[in-house]
Amino acid sequence: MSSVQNTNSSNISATNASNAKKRKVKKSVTFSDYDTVITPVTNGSHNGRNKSTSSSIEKRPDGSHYPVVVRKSISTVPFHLIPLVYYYMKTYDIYTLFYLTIPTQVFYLLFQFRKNTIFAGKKILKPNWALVIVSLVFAVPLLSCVATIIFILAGAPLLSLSYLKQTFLLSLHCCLLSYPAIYSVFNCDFKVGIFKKYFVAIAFGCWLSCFVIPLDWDREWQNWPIPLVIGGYLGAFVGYAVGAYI
Amino acid sequence: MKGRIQKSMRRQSFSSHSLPIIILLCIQLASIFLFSIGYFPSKNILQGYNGYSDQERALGPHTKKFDKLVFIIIDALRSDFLYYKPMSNFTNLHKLYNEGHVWGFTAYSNPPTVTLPRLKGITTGSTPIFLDAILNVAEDDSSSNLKDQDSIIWQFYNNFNHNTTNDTAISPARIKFFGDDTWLKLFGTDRFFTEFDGTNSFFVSDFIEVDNNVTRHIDDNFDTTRDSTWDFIILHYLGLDHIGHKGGANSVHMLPKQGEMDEIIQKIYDKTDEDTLIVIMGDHGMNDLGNHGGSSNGETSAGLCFVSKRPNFVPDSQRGSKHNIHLPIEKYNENYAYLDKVSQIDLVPTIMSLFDLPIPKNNVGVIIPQLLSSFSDSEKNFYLMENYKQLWKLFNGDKRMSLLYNMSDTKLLSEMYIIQKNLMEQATEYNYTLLYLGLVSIFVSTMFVIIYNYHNFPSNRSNLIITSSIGLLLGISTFGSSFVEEEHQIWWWITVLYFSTNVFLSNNTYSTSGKIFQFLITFTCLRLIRGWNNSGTKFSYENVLSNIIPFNLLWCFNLVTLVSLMLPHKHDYVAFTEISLLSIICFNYKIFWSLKHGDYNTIPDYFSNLVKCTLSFIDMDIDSAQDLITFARLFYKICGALLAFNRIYYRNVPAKRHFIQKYIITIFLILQSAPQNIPLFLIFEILKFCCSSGSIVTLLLQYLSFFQFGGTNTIATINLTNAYNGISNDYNIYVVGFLMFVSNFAPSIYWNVAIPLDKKEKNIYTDLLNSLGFTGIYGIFLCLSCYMNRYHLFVWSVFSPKLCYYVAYSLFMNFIVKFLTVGCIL
Repeated sequence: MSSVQNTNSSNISATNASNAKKRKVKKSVTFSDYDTVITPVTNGSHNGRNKSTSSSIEKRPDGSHYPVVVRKSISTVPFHLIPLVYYYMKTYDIYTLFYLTIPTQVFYLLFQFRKNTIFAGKKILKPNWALVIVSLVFAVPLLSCVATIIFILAGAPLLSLSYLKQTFLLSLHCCLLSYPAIYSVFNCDFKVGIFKKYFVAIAFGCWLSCFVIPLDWDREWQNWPIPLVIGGYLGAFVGYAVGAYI
Repeated sequence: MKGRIQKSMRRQSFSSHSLPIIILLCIQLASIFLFSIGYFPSKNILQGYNGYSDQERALGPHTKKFDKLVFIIIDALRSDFLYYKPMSNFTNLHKLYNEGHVWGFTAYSNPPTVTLPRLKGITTGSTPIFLDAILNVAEDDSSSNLKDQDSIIWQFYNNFNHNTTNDTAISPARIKFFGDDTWLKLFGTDRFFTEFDGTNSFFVSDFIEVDNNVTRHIDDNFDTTRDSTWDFIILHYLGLDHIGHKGGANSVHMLPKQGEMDEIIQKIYDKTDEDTLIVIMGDHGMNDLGNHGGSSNGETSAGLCFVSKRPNFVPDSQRGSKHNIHLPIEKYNENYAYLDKVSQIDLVPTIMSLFDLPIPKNNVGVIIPQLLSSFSDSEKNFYLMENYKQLWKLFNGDKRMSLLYNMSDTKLLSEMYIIQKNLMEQATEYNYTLLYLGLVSIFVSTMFVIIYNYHNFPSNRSNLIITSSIGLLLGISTFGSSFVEEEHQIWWWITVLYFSTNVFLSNNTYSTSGKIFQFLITFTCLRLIRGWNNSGTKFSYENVLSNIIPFNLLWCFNLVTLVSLMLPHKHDYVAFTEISLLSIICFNYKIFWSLKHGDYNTIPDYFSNLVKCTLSFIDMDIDSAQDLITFARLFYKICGALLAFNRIYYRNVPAKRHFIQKYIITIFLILQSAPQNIPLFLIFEILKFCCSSGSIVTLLLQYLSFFQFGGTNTIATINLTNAYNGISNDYNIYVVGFLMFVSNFAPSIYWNVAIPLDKKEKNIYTDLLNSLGFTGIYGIFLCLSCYMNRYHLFVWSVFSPKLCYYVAYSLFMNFIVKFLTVGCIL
């Protein structure tokens, strides 16, 4: 009896959810972040290359873009970040963490995040290999320079060069964490605002983690930038996991 | 006519709010005061003086072990400075110890570890109360003197020659004092000391003159060819403490200074006879940053040595060498517990028994048993018994002592340690009725404030929610002692979040690039403020901006700051003249002041020459201290006159008047700030244009900038240097107090006054109500935390000072600044 009820209710909730999804999709057409960022550019070569790999974004007849959504799915949860954080909390080895994070993030982008990013309501783009590499090799380091400045403005210690180096490593990690979002932003010609929340989540994680610094426990993990790295990873985990629902 | 009616109507509609707000403000202040009166009780002190009864006089042996006493107090002499090899340069003393002429101890000094309470402890043997620590700051205070309390000094003065001369011809002991003038404040200059020379510890940057001022008296008083002119001599050296404040415990000046002290000790040792006892001690220790006042191990571990030429002063069997202890000790002890550990106040009964004097009435100390080694058994028992009786009386009042005349020495000692422990715990008797009353009334008043605010100002609700949540966050943080110590981090933490969300989420008209630009400017300003000074007690960095900025550049920035204040008035000649006049006087005064108080080489020549010209123009002399005072008073007079003038001249244009008055107050605040902090006002001015106005910005920035001006939640950073601007010797304590408040809270006052309130007067009320709400919520948690932590180890060093700051803040900021200044003067 109860099981029947359960199934009933779950059915109802499922339909509710699908309704909500539909509604949301509709909503996002009207209220999406489209065209809030940068005036449209006609980057012909880029588009041309995309067309040749048949992964370009289609435009509506009126020239606006179709919405981009991230599918609500368990597969967007970046489970690999948890063992990485665990490893880091055991060793505080920020360099090895790079070697572990880079391949797993690329894997996550290709097989989890990309596959859940839906264009024009139905379409999943094929991996744009050039962009995968360009954003990893150029965009991430360049953006981490920007991130370093932001970290310093937000209070990162500037006492010596070693602090500066640590801050740079921290921002490199943060950019690596936002790598799937960076790739997706590039892949959408900067036109899509839905990926902002992933950056915000990482920044918020870093911010939140700072509260352990003033504690007088004198533990190693209170040293700069260990709490922020951990906070950034956890923020990214939460952000990518629930990003689709926000 | 019509205008007047409108005006009076408007006034009426606002006065309907102002009365309830005044009442709420007063209730909140009253409840905060109730709580703090209950939290800082004044201690009951036994009146009268101890003396031997006839029976005791007949009973005791009454032979002085020593004739003369030398106190060498080296301020902030931590125990490892005396004993631990890498930190110590007392080579002669080490030699004396190894030869058996020195009893060495690590003495626990009860917090608050600042000089005045510690001197009280050392002389009366009592444990201090927190009020003493505050009175240490309020220099001129009569309640902190010990003239009429039983103390070592009183006993020496009155009873020293009593016994030897068989009650006839009592002549007081000849006591001499050289050193820190805190002693003179405690004991007065009229009675106890036959000769004295006080040194002011005002200029912390000097550590040579303060000590030479003491040392120059040594040759006269320790002359073996002449008869001694004293029985008890006190030398209080301040240099070591000043070095600590300036450069920390590992300063390069530390070891040479110790060497100098060691030479002095050796000299005195050489020139005294076998009947002289030399006591070398620190009144307190210091932490590695060189600060003190708290209760960390470094701060409470002072060194204590008894030195005498007497053969067998330290019996062979008890010498350190017998137990394989050789000074200097090479093994590091993280608790600074080198050699035997005693309590610093144990010194009092020990000295008294060595000189056969009655123990001061309020003494909590217990005789250090090692020092009784030269006593016979009956003597030993007599003095221990005296100590026990005195403690019993202090602990139990007139209750009849259970007669234990046949108690063994060890039993007596253990009994005394129990009493001592109880007495120390009893030292703080909180007034629980007032505590509960304060807690309840602050809770109720805060609820009223919030309900009133919510009900009457619907447009202000989002601000109310944010300020309340900031209050809640800060309030919860007060339960962690390190969050209280590092409060500036929390304010920075909140500020970063608020400003970054504010810039990007606000609905202003800026485009994306405009927002990014706004973000960059705002955060650059904030980051500069943040990096300007050290705050908090955990970290102290060398390369903060105020330290690394070159002096030439600093004074140029100071000039630019003052010029920048003139610029907004360039269309109004009257205002422009006013502000320029004040700016010029202010700039000249700051340079004049720095020339008088600081080093000459910190000021660029062209500026000092400029000031010399200006001063000669108004018949003043750059070397005259009196002229500095006159000059400051001139500034105050002009400042007051201009405020009054504007009140009349601009009476019909309130918006313009507010604008000008704010700038006049800003220049007054600059005058009350340290020279290295003046450029921050320039940053404030820039920041003011970048960020939206409102009570949240005011709240965040007033606290942030207070801490980044170098303020903390400890009494150690209360800055007095600017509290004496224009103050002569016969000063009024209230004026000094007011200037002290202004100079310590200058940035907070700036933000309270300077954020442009909209023309609507309503904003003054919402602003005040928001701030009352914040103070209230913060206060509930702070009082609760203080109440719950009243037996915490850090109650003196963290929670009590925080409560004091909180009281000062709510009184000064909410009442005087917000209400009186913003409401009335502007």
